[in-house]
Amino acid sequence: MKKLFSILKNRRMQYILIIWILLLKAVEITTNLLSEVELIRFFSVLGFSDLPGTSLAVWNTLFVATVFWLIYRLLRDVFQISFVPKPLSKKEMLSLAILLIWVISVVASSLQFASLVTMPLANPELEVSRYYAPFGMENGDSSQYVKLNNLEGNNVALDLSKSIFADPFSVYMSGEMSQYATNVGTSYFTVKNSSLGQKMIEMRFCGNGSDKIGGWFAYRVALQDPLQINENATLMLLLKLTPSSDETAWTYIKIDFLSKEGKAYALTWKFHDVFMNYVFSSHNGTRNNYLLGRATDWVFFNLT
Amino acid sequence: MNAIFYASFSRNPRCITSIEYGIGAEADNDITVQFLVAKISQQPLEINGMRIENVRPTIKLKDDHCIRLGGLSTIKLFVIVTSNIAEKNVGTQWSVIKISRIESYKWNTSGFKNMTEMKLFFAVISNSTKLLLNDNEILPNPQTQRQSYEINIEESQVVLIVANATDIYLMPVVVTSSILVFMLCLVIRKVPF
Repeated sequence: MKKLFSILKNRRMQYILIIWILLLKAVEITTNLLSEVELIRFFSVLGFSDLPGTSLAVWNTLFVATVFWLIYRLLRDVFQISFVPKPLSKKEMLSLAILLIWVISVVASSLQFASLVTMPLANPELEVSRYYAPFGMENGDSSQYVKLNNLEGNNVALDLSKSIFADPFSVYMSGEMSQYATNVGTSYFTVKNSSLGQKMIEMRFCGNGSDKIGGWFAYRVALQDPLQINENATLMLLLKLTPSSDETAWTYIKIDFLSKEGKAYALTWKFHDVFMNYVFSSHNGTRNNYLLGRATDWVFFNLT
Repeated sequence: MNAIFYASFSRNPRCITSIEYGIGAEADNDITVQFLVAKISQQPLEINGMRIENVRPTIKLKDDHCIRLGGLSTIKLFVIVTSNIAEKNVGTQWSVIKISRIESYKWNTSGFKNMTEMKLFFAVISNSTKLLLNDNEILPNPQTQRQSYEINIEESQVVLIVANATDIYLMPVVVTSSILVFMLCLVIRKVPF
């Protein structure tokens, strides 16, 4: 213990300790900031946010004491300002020690209390849900209605991914397949029923196992009778993509158009298993590609 | 699509001649995509006059408590109602070396017997949080901050208690040192400073 105190009395050793504690604080602040960024969130494991409350309080007290000690050292060593305390009697020393212990304990306990009472609340929400069968679509009115009773003052939402639609696809008839880097017969395009009884299109890409080679499976339906479109024509998409092991998955829907001048153009809406959001033109400006971001949870688009 | 087509090519579309669906990834993957809707409609999906832009739209009910749907013919609509909290209390408790914050929430659910599903969602900040749901202790899922629990629809009320506690080992020091100072003052019969 005596040896430790003699080491700590050394001015150089004090500066080394102060710098180490300040560096640790800088690491803590940096990792906290990095954890806010999506791609480098893993840096947060280096942070101190997972420490128990008491340890955090001790660490913060140590940091504050270090800052005060640094100010004291700089005042003495750089600005040549020194404080010479008047000699204290034993009784005064005892009283001062008790006062210091009391102040530190009160500050630390108050900080712990403040951090507990200012913690975010659980903010619970109780959701009750059920299926409703809409009625309507009569006398030329193309709307359907659902009547909800006894729900005054409550928030109401719909979950489209659990709803069942009467005619959800415009085009799903027989078409041409094309594929690259797949296992023969394992990739497919099919229409099936979900476990909730929803009719859905399911597509699968099963690669041949090659790493670093981009494979694909596509299914194209050429329309014998082209679909005429008006000014309000809207493409509605409700889809979900399985994430890949290496963030390379994507899916798209490509629509070939004829313009009023009879020239061929195409629009492609592509969805990935990672965040992205941009547009680019290809095929000499006759195709526009819209990359609309992550679709690993159900997403809905109303594209007019 | 008219607007997107015009914005892309500065021309107006006449008709659609073909549609292609695609899926892909690096070839060491096996992935699927599901389309519940891939529909070209003569009007966008609208609910109570609002254009829908996400998979879980919030509905503003009018006085007649009606949901009006347009643009996509529906057989069954999954409707979710967030129930109002009947009672909410947040308080703190002190013991010798511990402070606790207790949150208590209560819902009356006797009117929901005709519903299909009842789920409780709430946030848990710390892994040491204690949770009581209808007097039964439940364990938080460490994988997710937003917890979800399915509740039997037959329950006539739901009570959730969330307790967070912190050890305050220095509090006894505060009390002891205060008593010591007081005793010291008595002994020397004057205030020490």
